[in-house]
Parts: sequence; structure tokens; C-alpha cells
Amino acid sequence: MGRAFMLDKLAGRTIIGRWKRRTYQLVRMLGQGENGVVYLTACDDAYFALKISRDAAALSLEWERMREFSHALVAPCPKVYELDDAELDGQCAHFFVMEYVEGRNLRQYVSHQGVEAVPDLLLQLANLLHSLHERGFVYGDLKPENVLMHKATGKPILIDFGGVTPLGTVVKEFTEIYDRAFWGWGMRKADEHYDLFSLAMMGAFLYRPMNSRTREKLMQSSPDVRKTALSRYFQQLHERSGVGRTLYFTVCGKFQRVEEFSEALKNQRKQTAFTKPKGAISWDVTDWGLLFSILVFTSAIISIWFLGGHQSLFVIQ
Amino acid sequence: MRGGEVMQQILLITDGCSNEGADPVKVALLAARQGIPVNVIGVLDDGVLGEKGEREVIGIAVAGNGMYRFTKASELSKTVQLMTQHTMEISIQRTMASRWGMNEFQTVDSLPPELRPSVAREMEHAVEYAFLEVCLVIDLSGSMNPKRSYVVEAVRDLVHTLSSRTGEYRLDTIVFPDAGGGIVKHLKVPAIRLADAIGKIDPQGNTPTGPALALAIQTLKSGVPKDIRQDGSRVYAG
Repeated sequence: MGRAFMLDKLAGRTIIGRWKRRTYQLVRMLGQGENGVVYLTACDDAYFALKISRDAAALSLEWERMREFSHALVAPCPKVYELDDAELDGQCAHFFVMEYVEGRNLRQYVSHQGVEAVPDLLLQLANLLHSLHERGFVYGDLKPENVLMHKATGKPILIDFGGVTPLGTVVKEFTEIYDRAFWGWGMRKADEHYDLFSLAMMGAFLYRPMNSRTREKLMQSSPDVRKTALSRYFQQLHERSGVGRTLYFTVCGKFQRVEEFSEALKNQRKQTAFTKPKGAISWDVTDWGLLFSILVFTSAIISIWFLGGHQSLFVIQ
Repeated sequence: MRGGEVMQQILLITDGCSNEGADPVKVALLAARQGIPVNVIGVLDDGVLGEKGEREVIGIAVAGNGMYRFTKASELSKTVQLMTQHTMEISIQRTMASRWGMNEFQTVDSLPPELRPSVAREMEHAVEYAFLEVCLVIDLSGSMNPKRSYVVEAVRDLVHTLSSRTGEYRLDTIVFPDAGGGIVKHLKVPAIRLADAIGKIDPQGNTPTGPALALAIQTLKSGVPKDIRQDGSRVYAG
């Protein structure tokens, strides 16, 4: 079981494809998935992303599925190029090359744009998920780490296809806090709602993250306890944002299809356009009045100061 | 629907050294000879297991032709699933190798890259439809007490995943030490009540890992369906 090389310690090394004979310089690590590590790589004066793994079967399946989707009109994932093997310290590793997408991760994006950007983001992601469902697949392991905000287009893109599962079979990869079964809201079977559930949870946590202590405690509780905790969490979220309600309905299974979810989110957004959100900076009559009186007071002081000569006002005689 | 393959595996969850009965490494070797891989998860306390415990975990997995992982209690659930899944993939790969003109020690790696996805797709399908028999062997000796709630939820979670598969499954659980005066105990409860049943056990005694593994082999070998016919009925051995 001892391995001569670590997949996450390959930065700076050069690999040569066994079949296609191309040379790749591994520049730095970009991220780590369930079944492989992704590096920024240089080949023929161009940059690519390269995923390297020990699991030939899983990697080839991921490659094939990404390739199938990269021809879609709105590509949900980076374009993929060749699938090859490399020899490293006398052992075989497998890799594929894909388009290098420059961008920000989801948390950075939201902290920069503000939570107001979340509904729009969820709608765009829902569209990507829909394109997978149409071809008979479920994304599965949807979480912020697997989404990248494309720098050039400003749109989200899904970067890890290792968890992509055929509809109707057991979900291959998941992360507890985005997983429907963990929260006691259904099976771990790949259907449209499974992805919607993760999407809703991801949206909710972007508004209001769950702290790690609560998370740790919930890991030790039964799904019934988790379910109750989740409804409490959404209640608090709802007080902060109207979107919370739509997200909770999604979690409970009221929306089973992506179209229903998107429709509800759009309607909800239309409503909030008229009613001002609580807590956001807004100016009402009192605020304007206050500003006005401050201005009047300041200008009065300044005029008195000028009229009465520069010292007379503050010098008590 | 194709008659699925039958896959068996033993999964041992422990945190320390056995101190009663047969040597677990020798028992694991016996399991491997009968075609049952033995996987071991070493549950860590604050990142340590102790050298002796660690050696035993590795020893059992190597002898049992299985895998081992050391994991924190909070990641137990995820590890259990990954291992079960991965073991199925390996078994499927072995049984399917001949169909793809490979011997059982060759894997998908030996094919040219373009041919791999179709093999991988077929494997994925076979893993989903196979009849899966898992025997969990759970160490509940004193030192495992603080991690009990994690074990309970990990088992509940495994049942969730198994029942979400298309293929049928059979789940047996051996716990040790036995609270009722015996050495090890085969929990005979339906899968949905299994987690809660484990939560209620209050075991006291030694750590008879070897005898527990022996009972696991016996359980998997008794009344085990040899094959599933096209119509879904099972053919039992003997």
C-alpha cells in the first residue's frame, strides 16, 4: 500500500503522456477532488488544467462525461482535451487535460458582490443543472468548492464531474451538509430534486453559514434531530431574507423540478423589488429629515463663524 | 434486468488492539482465501491510534486482501461509504476482467485510454445492480464509547446508501464484546432499526477482534445466495 509519490506533491514536476507523447509542466496545484488532484499546467506555451488520479476507471468516466457536456450551448463545465497516462517514479498515474478557467470561487464572489447576488447565481446554476438532467444525469456533489465564477463571462461553471451520476442510481459522491439523506429529507438516489436540494442548501449557507460546532454536533445526531434543526435554521434565515422561504420549500420537496424552482425564485424576486428588504441600507422620510437638519445646522454655524469674525464666536469675552 | 453479480465484503471498525481469542490477522487471511475481502477502518482519538493498534489495522487489511484507512470519528460515515463503494468496484473489475480480454490481475489501466470509458460505464452499471452482502464488524469496547454516536450515524447512513442502490443487499452486523456474556454477537435486527440497536448496546469486556471476524465469515458463508436468477429469485448453496 506504500506509494512512492503523493498526488498532491507534484508541483514543479514534468510529466509525459504515455500515449500522446505530449509534455506537461505542472505549475501549481489548483484543487483537490474526491478522485484526483488538479494542477495548472503548461504545454506548448499555453496554460491548461490537468487532473491526475490513480483510479483509471473513474477518471475516464469523468473525462467522457465532461466531453459530452462541453459541446452544449452553455457549457456547464470546462472543455476537455486528451486522456493519457504518465509514469511517475516507476508507477503509473492517469490524467486528463482541460481548459484552464480563470475565476473566483463562490465564497470569494459572494463576499465581494454581496448576498444580493445570490438569487441570480442560483438561477444560473439551476440552468446548468437542468442541462445535465436533460441528458439523464444528476450532478450529485454540488457545493461551493465545485463551482467557479468564470472571470471572462462572469457566469458560474461546474468544475468537478467526478460525482456525476446517471438518473435513478445511487448518488456517487456527496458532502454531508448538502446531502438530502443527511438532513432526513429523502433517499440518496439521483433525481432532479437531489440536485435542487443541494442547490438550496448551498444558497442558504451563502446567506448564513453554519458554524462548525453546530455541524459537528449534527454529525452525531439522528436525521430526525437534523431535520428539526434545519427547519429552525431556515426560520431564522427567512427573517433576514425572503429567499429563505423559497429555499426551504425546495428543501421540503415542494419543488421537484428545476423549472418550478426557477419560477418560484423569479416570482419571489419580483415581489421583493417592491417591498424593501429588512436590514439593507434604505432611506425613509426620517433619514432624509435628519440629513436635512444636519446640513441646515452646519451651514448656520459656518455662516455665524464668517459673519462674526474668525475669533469672536469661540472666544468668551 | 441482468442477473447481478454477488459481492461480499467484511468491514471492520475498530480503534485498538485485540486482546482475546484468535489472532485477527490469521482470521483475515482465512477470509481472503474464501474470496471475502476484509477492509478495516481505524477510528482515531485526536489523530492517534498507537503503534500497536495501527500495526494490527494494517495487518488485518493486508492479510484480508482489503483496504485500510485511519479516520477521525467525525469522518467515519464518509469513510465507510467510500470503502464499501471502492471494494465493490474492485470486485467488479476482477470479475469483469475476463470479458475484456484481461486476466484478473490486469485492470482497466492496461487498455488504451479511449477504450476505458465504455468499460468504466459497464462497471458502474454492474456495481449499481450487483447483489451486495456486507458484514459489518464493530468494536464497541470501552475506548470506543466516546465515538459511539458517530458509529451509530455512520451505520444509519450506510443503510441509506445501500437502500438507495438499485441492486439488492444483505447487511449483517457483528458487535463485540457481547453485553450478554458471550464473546461476540450477531445483531439480528432489520436494517432500518440497526443503528438504534447499536446505540442501545452497553458492552463490557475485552476486545475479541479475531472471533468477531470468524463469526463474520461464518455468517457470510451460511445461507448465502450463490447467484441471482434472471427472474430475481436467489439460488442458495448447499
